[in-house]
Amino acid sequence: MISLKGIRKIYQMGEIEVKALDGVDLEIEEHEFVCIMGASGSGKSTLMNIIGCLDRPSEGSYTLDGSDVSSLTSRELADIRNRKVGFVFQTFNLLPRMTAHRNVELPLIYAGNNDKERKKKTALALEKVELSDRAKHKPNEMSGGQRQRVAIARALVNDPSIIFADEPTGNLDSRTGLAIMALFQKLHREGATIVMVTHEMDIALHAQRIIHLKDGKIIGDERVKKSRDAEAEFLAVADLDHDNLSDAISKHE
Amino acid sequence: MNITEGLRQSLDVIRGNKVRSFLTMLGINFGVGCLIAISVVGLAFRDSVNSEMGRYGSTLLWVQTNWRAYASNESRIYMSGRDKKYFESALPGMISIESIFDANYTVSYQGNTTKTTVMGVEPAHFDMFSVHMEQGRLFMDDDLINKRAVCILRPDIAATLFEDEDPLGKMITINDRNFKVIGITERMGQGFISDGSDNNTIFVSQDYVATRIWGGRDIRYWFLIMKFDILENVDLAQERITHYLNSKYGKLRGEERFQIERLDTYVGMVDKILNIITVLVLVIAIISIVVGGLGIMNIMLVAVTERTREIGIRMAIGATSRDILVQFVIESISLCLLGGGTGIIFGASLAAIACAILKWKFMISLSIVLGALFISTSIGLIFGIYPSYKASKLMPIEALRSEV
Ligand SMILES: Nc1ncnc2c1ncn2[C@@H]1O[C@H](COP(=O)(O)OP(=O)(O)O)[C@@H](O)[C@H]1O
Ligand SMILES: [Mg+2]
Repeated sequence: MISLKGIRKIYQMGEIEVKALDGVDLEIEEHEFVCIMGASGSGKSTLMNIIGCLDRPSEGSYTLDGSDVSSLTSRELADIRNRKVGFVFQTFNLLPRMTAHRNVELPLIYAGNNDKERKKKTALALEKVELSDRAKHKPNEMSGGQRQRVAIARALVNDPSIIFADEPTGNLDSRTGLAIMALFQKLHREGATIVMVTHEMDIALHAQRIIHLKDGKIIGDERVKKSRDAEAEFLAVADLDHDNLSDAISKHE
Repeated sequence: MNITEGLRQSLDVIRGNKVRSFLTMLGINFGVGCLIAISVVGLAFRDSVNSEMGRYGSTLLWVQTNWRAYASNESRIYMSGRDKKYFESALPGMISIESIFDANYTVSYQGNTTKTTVMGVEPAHFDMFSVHMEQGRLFMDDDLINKRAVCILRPDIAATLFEDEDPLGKMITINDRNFKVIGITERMGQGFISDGSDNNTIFVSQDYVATRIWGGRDIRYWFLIMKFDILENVDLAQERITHYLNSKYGKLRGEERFQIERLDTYVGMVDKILNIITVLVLVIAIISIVVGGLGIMNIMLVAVTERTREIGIRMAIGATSRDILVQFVIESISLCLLGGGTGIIFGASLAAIACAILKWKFMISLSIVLGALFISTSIGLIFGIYPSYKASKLMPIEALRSEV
């Protein structure tokens, strides 16, 4: 479904050339759950933005579902971002003036859906992320985990075939992070292709496949023999709201 | 992106930046306000002129000796009684013809003596110039036949001469001759045309002046005023009179000896003056609208910079360049329409106040309002398109990475 050959991304910073990506070859099949790992500055986001059609490579060819992305018009690229892929960012990237409902609805507006369809699909997406009761809230009235769930609902609302997530748990505490990972795993089970960026092995191990990026090159690409189950881990982690303190301590020991 | 959605987002933005939006739309507001005010006041003024004309019928024409054609010591040619008779018989559609004499005389009643304008008029005069009586009566044919020495007073001279006494039926002296007061006119309003009288004028019968004071000599007229039924007959009269006077008296060094003027040309003149004022106000309005438009453009450029990240987010979830363009253009148009809409209210209020003070009829037409809205929309489009185009040309990833 995704096929990259010899992808390079070079930033010219005055005299210096920064090779954010330096010859990446990569194939990702439908229904895969892939994690891209690497140190900060290794080119993870750059790679993600290119496969997500937000950015164009300096060199190399990218084929998405059989069509050569470099030959697509900006209109066609917008359509891909609208229907085919959904994006989740580390910093949520919600529009601050709008309620959760309006944020989730926005891709449907660009897709040209009518009022009725929009209402239905938005409600459904919010339900999937268990935020139906927060529909009328603005981002600054919600916790980080809730904001990220709104962002995921927005990524899901047009029923995309691939979901891209760039360090989606980066700004969250580990327990909330696990809840978000559980959500991605659920989406994956329901048939979505997921490409995620992270620099934490704990998070990466929820995927089926881990790609190791270093200095803009892929230096490792392995299957995970037994992925972790985020849902179970989440339940195992102490929740002080429900457990008493001594139970919580014994759970951790 | 559809229009309602764009409008909804614009209102969100405007609500979120109330002060800034308000200041930005002031220029458009003022400009549109000026446009509306001048249109409405212009309309009201034309209407008041027309209704004033309606009173006189606008079918007045007058002929007078062309003073400018003569050197200072040159003897002038006047129209004769025979000329007047010719006009009476040869001009179709004439309703009345009148000549006016006026001179300053000493007038007195008992101890009160003053100098004022005495105007010799014909019975048609009062109708022609819409002079209405407050007390007493007009001149009658009977007065003329019997050559009675009667006069009609304007209210101020009546007050000067009689103070608290009732003037009707009393005898006053004008230039040592006795005249009986038969009527007092209404106070003069601010009419558009006038016979040259004021609230101190005394009217006497011209016939009396002619026969008694001039002593039956052939009368000479420097001024004749005629009223016709329809404008076509005014045209015809102008043509015939010009021809008649020129062929009878000839020209003087290429200049007409007599001047012919028509009331309807004055209407045209008033129109011209109004047009000049309109153009001046229009220029002010256009300047402030353009300056307002530049303000809109500036604020839209700021908005695009401030909201680069928002643009990036929108593009990341599927907005096309066109969607972004349309959104910002709608925002700019909304701002302008807000300015224009409030400008209509502001301008109409100004005009309403002006009309109330000047006692003109306040009228506002739908086309004026639509025109103002059209102008606001166009300004929003013209000055919003460049910032919006800039926004639409951003690269998604660069916009998304922006820190603002
Ligand atoms: N817009 C840019 N201009 C210049 N250099 C950039 C730009 N974006 C990324 N880089 C550089 O490319 C490299 C890879 O960046 P990035 O893909 O963001 O890394 P990661 O997401 O793995 O932390 C870094 O060295 C970064 O400095
Ligand atoms: Mg990154």
